[in-house]
Amino acid sequence: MVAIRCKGVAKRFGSTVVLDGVSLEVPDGAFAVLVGPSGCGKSTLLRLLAGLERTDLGTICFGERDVGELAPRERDIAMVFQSYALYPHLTVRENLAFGLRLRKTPKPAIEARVREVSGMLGLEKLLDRMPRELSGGQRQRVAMGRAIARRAQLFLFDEPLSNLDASLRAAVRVEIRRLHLELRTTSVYVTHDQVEAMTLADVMFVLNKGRIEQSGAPLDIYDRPATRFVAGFLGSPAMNFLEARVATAEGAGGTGLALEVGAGASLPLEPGAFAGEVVKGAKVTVGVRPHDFEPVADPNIPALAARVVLCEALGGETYAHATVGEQPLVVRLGGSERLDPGARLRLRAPRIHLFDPARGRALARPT
Amino acid sequence: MSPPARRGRALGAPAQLARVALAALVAVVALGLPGCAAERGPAPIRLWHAYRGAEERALAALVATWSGPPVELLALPADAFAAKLQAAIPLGAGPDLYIDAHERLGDFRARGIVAPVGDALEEDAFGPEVLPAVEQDGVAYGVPLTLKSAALYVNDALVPTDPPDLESIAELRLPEGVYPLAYEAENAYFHAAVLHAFGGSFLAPAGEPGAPGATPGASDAFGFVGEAAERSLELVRSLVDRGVVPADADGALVTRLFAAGKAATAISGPWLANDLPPETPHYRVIPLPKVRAADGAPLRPMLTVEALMLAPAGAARPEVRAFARFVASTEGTAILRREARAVPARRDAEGLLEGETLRRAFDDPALAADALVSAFAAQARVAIPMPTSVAMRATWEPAARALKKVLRGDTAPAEALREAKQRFDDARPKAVPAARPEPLVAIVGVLCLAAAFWLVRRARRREFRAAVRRSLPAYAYVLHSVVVLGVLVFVPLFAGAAISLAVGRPGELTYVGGYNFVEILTARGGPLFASGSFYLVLLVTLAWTAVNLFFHLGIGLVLGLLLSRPTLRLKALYRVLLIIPWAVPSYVTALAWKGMFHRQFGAVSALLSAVNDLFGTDLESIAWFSRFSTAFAANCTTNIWLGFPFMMVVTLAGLTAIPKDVLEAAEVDGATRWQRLWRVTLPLLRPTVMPAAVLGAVWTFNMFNVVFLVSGGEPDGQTDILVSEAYRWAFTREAQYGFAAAYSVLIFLLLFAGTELPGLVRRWRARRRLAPAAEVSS
Ligand SMILES: Nc1ncnc2c1ncn2[C@@H]1O[C@H](COP(=O)(O)OP(=O)(O)OP(=O)(O)O)[C@@H](O)[C@H]1O
Ligand SMILES: [Mg+2]
Repeated sequence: MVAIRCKGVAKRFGSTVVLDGVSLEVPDGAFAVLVGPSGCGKSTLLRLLAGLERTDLGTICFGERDVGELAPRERDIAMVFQSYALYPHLTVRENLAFGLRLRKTPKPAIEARVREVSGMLGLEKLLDRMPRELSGGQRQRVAMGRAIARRAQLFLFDEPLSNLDASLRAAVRVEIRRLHLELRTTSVYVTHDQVEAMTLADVMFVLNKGRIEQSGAPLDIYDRPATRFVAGFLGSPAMNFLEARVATAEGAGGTGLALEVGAGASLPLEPGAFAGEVVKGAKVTVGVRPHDFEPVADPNIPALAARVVLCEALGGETYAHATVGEQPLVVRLGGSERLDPGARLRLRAPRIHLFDPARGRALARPT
Repeated sequence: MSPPARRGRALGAPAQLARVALAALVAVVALGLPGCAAERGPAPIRLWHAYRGAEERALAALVATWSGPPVELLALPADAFAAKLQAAIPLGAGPDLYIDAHERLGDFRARGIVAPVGDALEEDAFGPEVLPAVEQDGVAYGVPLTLKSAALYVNDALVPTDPPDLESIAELRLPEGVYPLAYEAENAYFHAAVLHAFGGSFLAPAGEPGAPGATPGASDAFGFVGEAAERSLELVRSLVDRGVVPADADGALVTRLFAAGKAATAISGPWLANDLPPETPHYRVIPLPKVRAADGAPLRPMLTVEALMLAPAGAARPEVRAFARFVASTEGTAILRREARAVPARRDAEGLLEGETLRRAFDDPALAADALVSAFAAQARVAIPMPTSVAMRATWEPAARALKKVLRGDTAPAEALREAKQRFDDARPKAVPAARPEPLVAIVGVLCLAAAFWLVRRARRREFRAAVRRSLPAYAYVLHSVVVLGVLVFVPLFAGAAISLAVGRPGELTYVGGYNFVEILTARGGPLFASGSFYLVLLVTLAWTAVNLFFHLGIGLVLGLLLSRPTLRLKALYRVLLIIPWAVPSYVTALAWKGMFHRQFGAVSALLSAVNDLFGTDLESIAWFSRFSTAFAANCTTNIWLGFPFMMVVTLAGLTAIPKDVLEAAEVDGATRWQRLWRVTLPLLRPTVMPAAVLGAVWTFNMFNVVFLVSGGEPDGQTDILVSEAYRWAFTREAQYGFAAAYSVLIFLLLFAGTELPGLVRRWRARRRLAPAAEVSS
């Protein structure tokens, strides 16, 4: 129930620069998700927000208030640690009640809250156990519960669901979403999981090497990645990247330009789509998500010619690993399709992304 | 590898060990046998002694002039001397003859390690003041060699003319801050001189009291009572009260005062002359003065006769007796006199100066050594030999306590003496009828049967046999440690427990069943919380343990927490400094602290006077060991100093085991610094600190060094704890080992219960806590 504003936050440990001028804004009541590869500084950013570390540079404001000098205690936050950090000497019940007890909440209120939280996270039977008597997933749920039990003005989650099995993870994810809709507490949530990121986020930040690569609504980022890194990081399986050269289109409907990927393999460029940015003879990186390929039956339509290496059938869908020239490619096929290794595929891509091969910046937006 | 082969290898190691041990044994026997068998020529005469330095050299010089069979000299440490003799002589591995103080004779005779000297003694060579010292029931058991007693050291500059009596010493006109007389007034050995002047003695005379010819101190009854004793105490108390004699002085202080010219005279033995530094003012030694209050009778110090004693085997050999005669001869003792300033015991000793010659000899550097010997020889003529009865050793402690109480003004002499007698009688071994051993045999038998039954039942189970067979190699691996532990821990434990069922001195133990325990637990018939009763001592021990543990934990935790703060600089330095108290041997620390608590000359008093000077306050220096509260506080301070570093180190170790993120979680959850400490850090330290605390409690419960060395049980045994009390029963009260062993068994049981019960209770509670949970999950 507070907005967060970070401006130019920098942090280094010794000579390691961990955060390098991070600025971000989370509106009041929003659910922000922080994604990024391992070691990019997500936990560090969260710890800065919590007040467990001090910034080297930059300011952090909660609402109008600069909290840079405030101790964690004074920031009224609740946090789920990546390593759980349960109190080993307290039972689950006492762990859940710890923060409330410190705030001198009346006993019946504590009990009610503990009951509510443990019901939500399926902890009822574990309330009298010690943390060492719990499995990793159970511990993680207790850590979640401990944070939720205290109605703080800001929730910080550091990969809270990474140790849960798929079904429990889905259930808790929904639970978190529901809780957030109910409480509307501003939250910052770190995750590796695409689905979690996409489903939970009101606003998403992609962090890379201590910098924010892109921020915005998750679908916007997914559809219009600002850099090759973001494009590759979001989506599973990851986006295909093909090195290509802009050439004059050949054949029937050839009105202008095409992307030449390899010998005899080219993708037509819709006229006007990348106006201005793409000139003949330029080198570009073409990005295509696996499900954006379409097979082409008509041999007259210009298409990418690929050779299948192997097929992975996942039940609902099948992924074909193929090569175009020397470049690898993953293509989603229909659920029942099977192709033998060596089979030829002719593909067309209605939605493509183009990137500057040198700097990774996205070239003009595809429509 | 097949299983049998593996087992063969595993069993191989112990077998090899056994072979090595056997070989070693054979080698020892083979080397030892020729040594025993080499009786070609005359067997050597073996002489053991505890001499050091000049005395040792003098003895060697003396032996060099002997022309008989070869003599083997062996010097042993003085404190272990008696124990070595007792152990070696009955095994035939001891000396033929040895030199020791005559007062041990009673004990040695009871142990059968000394025999009548027969013709080794030239009877008419010794005077009537010396001969009785080595006689037991009219038979001589030692050949007197040299004499030791205290005499009066006089500072020539301060006291030019010999003071005629004690009172005139007290009246000397002296510069400010100089004591007329320094001596260890609270030490019963020195008080004996005053007591003797009044006609008293520590042991009552045998036969009719006051009857002519009765040797003083010949009976086994406490004699430090009655008019003579009271008057001796009153005299010394008035000396201390008037500042004539420093209160609370020990040997080191007497040396210091006399060396610094801060004492005009000093009563001490020949050893003081060796301890005095060269810059000591010029002095002479004269016999102790007379006492006007005792109708002009002289102060008569205790006399110790260093004598040659013959082991039974040695006494049977004529050449050994001849050698003894040779050593104690006029020529022999003359060597000891010349080389080691020893006072010859013989009447016909040569080279002794007298009268005016003696007085002048002190001014002549060439004659100073002769003068010293002569002065002590003159004193020895009027000294009284220390009684040889074993009861004598039991008088020291009660007598010393009475002295302290009176000199510190706590108690009137009559009352203090009455208590002393009571304490002596109380500690004397009582005649206890031997108990019938049948009940014990029956109990042990039943226990053995039960154990056998249980074993057989287990052994019949197939899985058990299989498990044993499978673990055979493991048993082979732990065998040696089991044997070592058994020999070093369990055998002494059971031996101690067995001794606790007996009374009497070693060698003549009588089985008395639970008598010792009944005596201890009923406070020997006295009131349950009387001074020295088991229950009072137990209470003191518990208080001692609790106070120490509290401060050990408190200081250790605080320092550990401070040292673990990441912002602290010079951490390593502090850590080393704080561990130093632990690294110094505890007895060294204890003695240092005892020195600091000295009433007049300790650092604590110096600090108080510095404070007084600075702030114009009027804080009195405290006689730390005259009241229970201060003596207890002094003990505790010393032991706290010794014990906190351990807890600090444990705390530091425990702190490193606390995950940082848990503390951070608490911080985020809203805990203040204090709340984090109380609700997270301390509970998480518990698993590390608790075992250390239990260990610390056991150590403190049994912390003999500090109690014995700092307060020594003062005042009046009130600060004694159970172990030091057990020690007193074994070593200062006529070797009542049974009683001491019973104390140890009780201590063991208390500690066992104290450390094991909480664990049992916890496990039982944990099982109860888990039981409902198990029901839920099943
Ligand atoms: N206390 C510290 N001292 C030194 N370096 C640190 C410290 N904490 C983190 N780092 C470094 O900072 C970088 C970022 O760490 P951080 O924990 O924020 O990564 P992360 O994004 O949370 O990674 P993951 O997804 O694996 O949890 C890493 O390179 C890490 O080694
Ligand atoms: Mg992390």
